[in-house]
Amino acid sequence: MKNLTKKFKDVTSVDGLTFDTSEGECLALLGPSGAGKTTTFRMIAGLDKPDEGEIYIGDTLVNEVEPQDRDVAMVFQSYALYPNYTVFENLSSPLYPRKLPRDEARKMVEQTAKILRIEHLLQRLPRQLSGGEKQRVAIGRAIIRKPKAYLLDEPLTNLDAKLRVEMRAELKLLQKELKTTTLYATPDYLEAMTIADRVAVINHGRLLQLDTPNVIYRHPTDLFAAGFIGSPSMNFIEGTLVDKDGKMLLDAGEFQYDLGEINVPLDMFAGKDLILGIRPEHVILSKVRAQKDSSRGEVYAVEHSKPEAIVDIKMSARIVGALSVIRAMAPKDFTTEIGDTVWVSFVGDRVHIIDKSSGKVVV
Amino acid sequence: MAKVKLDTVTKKFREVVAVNRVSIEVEDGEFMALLGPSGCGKTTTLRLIAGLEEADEGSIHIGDVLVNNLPPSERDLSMVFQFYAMYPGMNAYNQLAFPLRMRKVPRNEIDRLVKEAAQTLGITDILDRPLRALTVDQKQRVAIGRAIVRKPKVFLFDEPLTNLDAQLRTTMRAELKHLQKKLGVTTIFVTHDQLEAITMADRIAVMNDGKIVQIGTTDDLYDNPANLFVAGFIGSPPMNFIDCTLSKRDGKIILEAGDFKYPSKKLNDLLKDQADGSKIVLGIRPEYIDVSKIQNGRTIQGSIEIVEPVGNRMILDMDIGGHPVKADVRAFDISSGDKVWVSFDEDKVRVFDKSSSNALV
Repeated sequence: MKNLTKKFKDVTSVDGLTFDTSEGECLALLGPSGAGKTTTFRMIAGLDKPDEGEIYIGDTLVNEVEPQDRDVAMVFQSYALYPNYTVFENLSSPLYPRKLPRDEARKMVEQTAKILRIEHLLQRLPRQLSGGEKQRVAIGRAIIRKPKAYLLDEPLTNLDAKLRVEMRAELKLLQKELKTTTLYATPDYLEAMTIADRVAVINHGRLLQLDTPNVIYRHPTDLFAAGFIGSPSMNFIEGTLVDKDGKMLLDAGEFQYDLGEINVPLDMFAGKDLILGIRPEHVILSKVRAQKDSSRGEVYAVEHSKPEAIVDIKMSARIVGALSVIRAMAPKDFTTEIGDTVWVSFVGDRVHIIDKSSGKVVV
Repeated sequence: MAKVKLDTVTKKFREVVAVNRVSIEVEDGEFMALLGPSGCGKTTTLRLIAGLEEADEGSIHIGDVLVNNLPPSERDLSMVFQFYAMYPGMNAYNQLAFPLRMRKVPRNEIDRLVKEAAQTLGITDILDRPLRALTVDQKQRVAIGRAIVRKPKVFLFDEPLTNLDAQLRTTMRAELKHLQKKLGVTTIFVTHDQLEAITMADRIAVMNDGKIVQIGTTDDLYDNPANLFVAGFIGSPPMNFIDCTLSKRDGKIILEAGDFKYPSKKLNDLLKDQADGSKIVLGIRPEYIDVSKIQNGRTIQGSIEIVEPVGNRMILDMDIGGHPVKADVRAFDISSGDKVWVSFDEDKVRVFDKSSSNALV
């Protein structure tokens, strides 16, 4: 993909998107609905024409190549199965244009069914299948052609939470077995991180960060990527960089954070608005003021999630979000109730500093 | 504020028993979740409490009053469906005043109650704005405001968060929980989402096929599920289950499943009454499994099929003696194909009877 752009009337749906995948790689396009993921897929598949930019599959520029000649297979969120065809017929229909001998086609259907563990369902109609089974058939229709690349557009979104967790592991295993280049669009960061080799974070049609799941989690480069990945999501506190007696501080009203330990020159941000980002698992809670740099907070709500409870804390600081609370994962055996006083500090080397005006992560 | 008590309540729709001898006691000020898959009878149960359906058998008390024969309007409760049923053109003030006007509350009293509710919710500044001019979270607060403005004895919520996006759902979870404790109003909350139930509720009533399967706190349900249904429904990734045969050798109990063998001193006592050869299911949650490349006292061998990185943790899909097992561990250096040593936290291993599905341990 080189500088891919697509506009619908005045709306720029995909804006100068550039990325490439190595052969056999699984790359996730991660972003909220409306980010431009599906439009990108439709352009790669040849269903929409880009206004600008180039699309290569292998070494071939495919902008002018007809969809059926691009040799990519797309799987949709809605499965798109023929309701009156049996599973066998649904699987074999993508082979019809090739006019294969009947025996050979049958063999390919059986092989595909075996890979997806749907051999026992071949004579059923789609309406007689569960959601997970339908999804396997839809994937089977894509893999039976052995295309150069797969485009999976939110294939698990319509499944219930439990099945989604099961299927994502299954899809990852399958992708590794088939070793076929795969693009995977999803709004679910967990799905993207667990399935893909690399993740492209997309918002408003623009690529914000492209890297391995671990790097994106540990070192987000952009405010949106930092907030979109992780649940509960990263806490953000707004403040201004001030120099107080030679000490660099993030000044957020009553809350002040010493930036002395941050090994990146921050001089250029003096007097500017910065955002401090810290993930809930790197917020340290204590009932007593254990550290000098702890700040006082009040418990707003306790959520008994497992394995660790989430504690929401009201603090005198400019905290971003509807509730203005800092979320923290409670350590084991830490029990607390609404209204309790707690002391909050952060794991120093996990604090991110973000330039508010550009959204770029400085540290 | 009031207790809500259901005693052997049954509701049939023609031949189908939607609610089957359900008994629940919700304490004064308690937040109770009714949790179960779609069709389990949880919404019908809520509608029975609200008076929108009539019970065929059993009694329903709100406070000390038997309400079986009272119409919904006299039950003094407030029901919130999904947070959407509002009037887009009306301003926030009128949204809140609406349920009071319906009840012909005097005008100055309405004004006082609306302002009080608005203050509780932090929406005093936006009361004159029409709904369409509000942000999504302000709309949600207005919707909650409509429920609390009348100060009912009981709140009933029917999957109010289902249509919200993930981020807003987490915000609303905390907000509802905070508000419920602040107001101290008895609350019954229907959901099919186990995460919603365990994060918000004081206690959870798990339903399946019209029946109550188990009632307890998050910790009760999580660590001591009454049967396989509860064990599998609560937690994500769900509890691992391994079908085993119980064998007794020299007075020692071993749970076996092909190449997988699990001996445990602790289970020796707990399972001593079980017959040799009984079919049982061993259950262990992903986060109670310890995985390492070195043996160091670990007794179970396995291999890594897939590594799913999730931030500072990772989910490992393993093959243990031919059985798929997921572990949820702190991220460390491991990749698919690696051989590993595994141990289960002995105190957290659960054992279920295969035929009845009930917990033995």
